[in-house]
Amino acid sequence: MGESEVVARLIGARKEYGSVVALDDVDLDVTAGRLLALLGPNGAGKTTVINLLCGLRRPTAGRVEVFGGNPVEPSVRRHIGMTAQETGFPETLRVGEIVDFVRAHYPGPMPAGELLERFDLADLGRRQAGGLSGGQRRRLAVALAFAGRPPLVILDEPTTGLDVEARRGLWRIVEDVVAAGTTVLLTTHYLEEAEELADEVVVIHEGRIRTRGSVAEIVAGVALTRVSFRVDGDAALPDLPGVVDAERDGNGAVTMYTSDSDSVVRALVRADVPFHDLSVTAVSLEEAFVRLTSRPEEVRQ
Amino acid sequence: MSLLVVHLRTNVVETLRQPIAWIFSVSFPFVLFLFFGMTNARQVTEQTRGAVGGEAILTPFLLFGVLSVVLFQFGVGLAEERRLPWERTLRVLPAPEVVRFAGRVGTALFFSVLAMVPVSILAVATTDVRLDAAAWALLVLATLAGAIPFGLAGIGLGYATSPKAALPIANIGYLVLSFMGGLFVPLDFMPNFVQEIGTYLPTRHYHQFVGGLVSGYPQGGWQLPGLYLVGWTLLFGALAAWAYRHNEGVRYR
Repeated sequence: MGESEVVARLIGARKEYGSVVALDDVDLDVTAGRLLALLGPNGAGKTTVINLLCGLRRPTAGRVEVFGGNPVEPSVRRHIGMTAQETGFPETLRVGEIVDFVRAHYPGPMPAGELLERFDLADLGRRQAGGLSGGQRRRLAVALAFAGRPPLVILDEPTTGLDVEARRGLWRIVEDVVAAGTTVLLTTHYLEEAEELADEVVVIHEGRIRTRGSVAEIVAGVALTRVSFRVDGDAALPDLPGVVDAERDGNGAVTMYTSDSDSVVRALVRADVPFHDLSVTAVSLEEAFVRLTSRPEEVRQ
Repeated sequence: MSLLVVHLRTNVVETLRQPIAWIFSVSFPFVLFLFFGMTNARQVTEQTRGAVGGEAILTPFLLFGVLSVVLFQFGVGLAEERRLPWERTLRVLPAPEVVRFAGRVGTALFFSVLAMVPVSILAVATTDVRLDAAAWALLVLATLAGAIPFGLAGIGLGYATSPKAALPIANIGYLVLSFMGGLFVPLDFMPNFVQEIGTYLPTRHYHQFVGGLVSGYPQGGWQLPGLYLVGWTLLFGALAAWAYRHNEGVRYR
């Protein structure tokens, strides 16, 4: 397998739902043997990318290629395993039956015992799906993506709804399969998850790809901190480093968004700004995007 | 093992474990035959001096059993399934759509046959049923073949409506079609206006087709009713195709 072999790609893909443009002229390559994270807030278009790549939807314009074919064809989908965001199983089927059902669709599936073992489901093989807990359902859903041992695994927000421990357990499994050569495309709106797992991150927002880069690059771009404090009267503020957005209301309440809160606070102290009620808080990815997209130049820095 | 077998087996097992989905289809014909069919059959055989056997009375019981299977499994079943996240999982799996469809049809066939068994055993045990093996095969096959337009109507219903709407529509459709088509009570015993309407209903043609082929009752031959059934197949087939395409267009375009 070549280092830069592309296993899946979108070429100028556009997707409209009625008058809503969910994806706008998106080019995306998924490289073999790596984990690519699609990062973006809710409604950014991540799930649409995934729906196109696994053949659930067709692009309004542009092309979709998976292993050189169109994923609308069942034979092409033999290369894909997927976990959808929403999880549901026929309630009366047993875990083992569901696993065997999915395995039967692939040419070289993983032995059922091994799969159940890996996903911590070994004791639940005879349990009916209706009797599983939320976390168990989620683990089963993710396990099914790996059941056929496909070369490309697509995980749409795999850890949403899992507790911290279960999330970390799932991360270890994903790391193992990537180390064994599987290509993984995963969507998430947890920055932490992308940091933990991804070789590369694509940031998607409002149906467009904003940036693509290594985890470190992206994290520096979107990991914002909110620095807020009060100043009396109309005290002047110095030039502050790394501030992407700032607000100041009539009562002297200042709110700043920065990628480097340490430097901002140091600069405030050095300039002897008479501030009080200082607080430094992490900003959700959603809010970071709102702040960043108001000044697109700064996103790229 | 072929994918079709896997889909069929999984579907059947899943449904078998929900008795609510099939217990009515299997028990209703049996119970009704126990209360009404048995005595009716004996009387009719006596009155006609043996010209009409128990099979003529049994036939409509088989028909409305199968009718309930195809209307509910396709109509209500599809309406429910296509909204579940599992449906997405199925669509991403590398199986041609025709396999999933065939699995569904096979499941309906399985439960249709299942619905015929108890009432048939009861009829053989208690009435004068005069069918040889070939005639039994013809009865079963004609009953299944004649159910095709109703299966298509069910598919149309399942793709066109929500589960909440599909259930009452299937219920009312099932009862009205069975009753007014003369499957519960022979049309001769009904008021004139019901007889009038009943003549035009697909369930009436279904009864005439299967009965005409197997027992000669209802009289009038099976050919014309068979043609009507072909017409119903085209009509409901078009409806099913439209509803299917509409659903695909909304959900998967």
